[in-house]
Amino acid sequence: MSHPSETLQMRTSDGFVFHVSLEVAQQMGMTHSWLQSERVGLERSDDDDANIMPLDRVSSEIFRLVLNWCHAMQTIEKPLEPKDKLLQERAIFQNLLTESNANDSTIFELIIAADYLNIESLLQAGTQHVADVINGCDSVEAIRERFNIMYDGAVDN
Amino acid sequence: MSLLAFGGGAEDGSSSDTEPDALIDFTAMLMERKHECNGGWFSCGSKLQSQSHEDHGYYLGQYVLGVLDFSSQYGIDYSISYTAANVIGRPTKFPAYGDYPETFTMRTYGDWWQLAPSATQEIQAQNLPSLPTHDFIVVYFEKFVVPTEVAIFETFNPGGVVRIWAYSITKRWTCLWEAKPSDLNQVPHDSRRFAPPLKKTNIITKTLRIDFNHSRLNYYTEIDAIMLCGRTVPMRCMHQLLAPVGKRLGNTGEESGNGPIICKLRTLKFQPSCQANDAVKLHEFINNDLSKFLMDSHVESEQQKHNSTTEICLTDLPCEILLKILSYLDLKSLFRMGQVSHLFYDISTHPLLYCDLSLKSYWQLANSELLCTLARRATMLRKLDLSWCGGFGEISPTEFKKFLTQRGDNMTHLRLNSCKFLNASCIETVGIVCDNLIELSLRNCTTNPPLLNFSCLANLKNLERLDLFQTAFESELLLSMLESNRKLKHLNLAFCGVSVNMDNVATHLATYNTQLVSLDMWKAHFLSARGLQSLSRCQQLEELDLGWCMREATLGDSLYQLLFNCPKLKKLFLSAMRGITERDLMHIATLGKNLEQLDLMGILNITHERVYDILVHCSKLKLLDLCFCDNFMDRDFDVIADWSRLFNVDIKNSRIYNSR
Repeated sequence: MSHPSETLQMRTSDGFVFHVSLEVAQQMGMTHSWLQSERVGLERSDDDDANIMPLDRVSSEIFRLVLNWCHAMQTIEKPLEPKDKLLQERAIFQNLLTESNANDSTIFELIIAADYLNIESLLQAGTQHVADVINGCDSVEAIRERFNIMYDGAVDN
Repeated sequence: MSLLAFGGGAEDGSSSDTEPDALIDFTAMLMERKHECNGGWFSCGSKLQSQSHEDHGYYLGQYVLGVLDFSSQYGIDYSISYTAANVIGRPTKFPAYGDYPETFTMRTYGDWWQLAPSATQEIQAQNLPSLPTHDFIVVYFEKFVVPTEVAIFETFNPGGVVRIWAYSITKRWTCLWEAKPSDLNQVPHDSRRFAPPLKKTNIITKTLRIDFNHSRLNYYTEIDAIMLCGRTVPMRCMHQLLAPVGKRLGNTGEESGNGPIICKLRTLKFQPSCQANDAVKLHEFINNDLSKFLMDSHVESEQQKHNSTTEICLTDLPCEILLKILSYLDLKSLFRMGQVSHLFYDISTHPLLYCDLSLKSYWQLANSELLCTLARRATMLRKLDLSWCGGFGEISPTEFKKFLTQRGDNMTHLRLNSCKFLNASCIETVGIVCDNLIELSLRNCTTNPPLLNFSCLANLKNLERLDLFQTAFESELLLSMLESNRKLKHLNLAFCGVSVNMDNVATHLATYNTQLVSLDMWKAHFLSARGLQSLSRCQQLEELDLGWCMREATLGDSLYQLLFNCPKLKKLFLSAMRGITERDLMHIATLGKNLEQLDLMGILNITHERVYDILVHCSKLKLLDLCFCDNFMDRDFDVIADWSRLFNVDIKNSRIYNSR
């Protein structure tokens, strides 16, 4: 099924075109639906535009991180217990963040991109990461400070 | 486990020298006022000064007067071997180190039960602390004190204690000490008087709860005694403290060391401004108001994001993603999140976050009010775990029944282990309302007369798992439940007592429950070769625990039949079954291809050739318990140790505690 020599062209919202191997692109659920609906095969045609998959909601900066994630996913040894697999994915996500000096905004954009591109593993790792941060906050005030949320009046009685 | 520990009431006197009257013991200690064992307790001056000490209080150390509750014990209640009652009074064996029946021992050790076919998944696992509690014991002492030290006398495999709680006179539980993972690393293979540094506190208590975690234990841990040291409170102070309880509650927030959030959790009175259906409100909010709300909160559109360098914040994420994030939070953080802002209140109260609900990790906070609040949110409840909650009256049976009636009809999993608030009418409600239950766990429900009687649960017909560990029930009810629940896969009847005839149960299982995968009959009575033979009709069996059953009975070829017909057996516990012959052991080797855990403790006819046989043929074996197989010579143990390494099998033998 996977053709390592085959690449897919993907264009991000800011106009950058990435050449992504089909194997990596297959990790994104969005690729499947696009391939099915738009194209029949991967023949090169004269009209290059039709071969390029548009990613209108993802910027190049975020997409680079997404690709880092997908590449890291490929290097995981396949047969793992679900618990260990989750731990490993969280570790990989952590690395991804530290390597790119990601701030909160980047993390959220990454989560939104994972949702848009339909990459379940990245979405899970990202949302779990944010949940861990929340779990680490000791009080309501700490949560508000950490995420810059405005206090909009008393909620409890 | 020692074979001196017969299940009957007639114990030979030589096995124990437990002091029969702890009260006299304690008074004697007070009179003597001198240091006892290493570390001892604080001396209190002479009797002449006792009068002034009555005014000011004095230091004392006291041993357990009685046991209020325990989640698990190895022995059976009417025995004095390896039961929770052994923790009462002075230590009898300490400082000796070894496997003694005069101590308190729990039923499990290590991870073996989590690896067995009968293992369950935790409900709402994110609520668990990093060192979760597996078992607990609640003990009380004679005098109220302000605690300064709690000493636990461990006489075998120390290192199981992870938490110490104290119940103050203001009816709050305080955690006096909690283990960090590093605490469990360097534990000596020797008896010890374990007295960890307690939190500084002013609470007054005479009731303690000790939490245990077994996962790092090599074998059973055993507790000889527990001592509570502290300063007594003079009578006049006690009156002052007990009288204006209302006022004192204001201070107990600090005393019990709980912050405002936990106080909030205790006094939850969430009352949304609208009385309408929460789910509908959220739906409307998301459809109509959310975009406006987000706009008001300065969320930029796609175009602006590209042009400006403004950051995205948490509130910019779509609701489904926020819901996903919140679904990973433990219950405490979830409630906290709900107080952050109106948006998060609405999301945090979404019913999808309350499909799996467990208050087990918050047992000390769970009360009727919390149940009431949760009832409003948990409209899609499927799995509920209220284990350990409401032990001191914090949850009323009425509130529980109301909760069940509102939310129980779609419930698939219900765990009510060690729930002291349960009464007969609660169980009846379970039977009537929760007819979709696949799993029902009612461990440690030993009331007299038993709560499980007549036909209170006969309405349940979809059960796949029924856990009645350490719970009394009427035979008729069980038999009728077996007949109705043909899909039953896991059944735990450990410690069910003398009133249940296991042969009858076995015959019923063979007729109605042939899908059975795991069966625990630990210390069952009246199981004979005939019963064992019936069990061979349950050909899907993967786990069978017959420990301390069929003590002297001859098996005939019933074990052979079982092994032949149940090739899927992975876990087989035959502890103290003296009727096992050498032929049986040969059959185990030839037929037990899938065996992973094998307990042959106390089998007398075992030779090391048979052990070798089993090790060679049972290639998947991971655990082999050979303790108290007195047939082995000392030199055999060295050989067995070699085999343990060679075949990569964890072999337990009675020599463990002799080697340092």
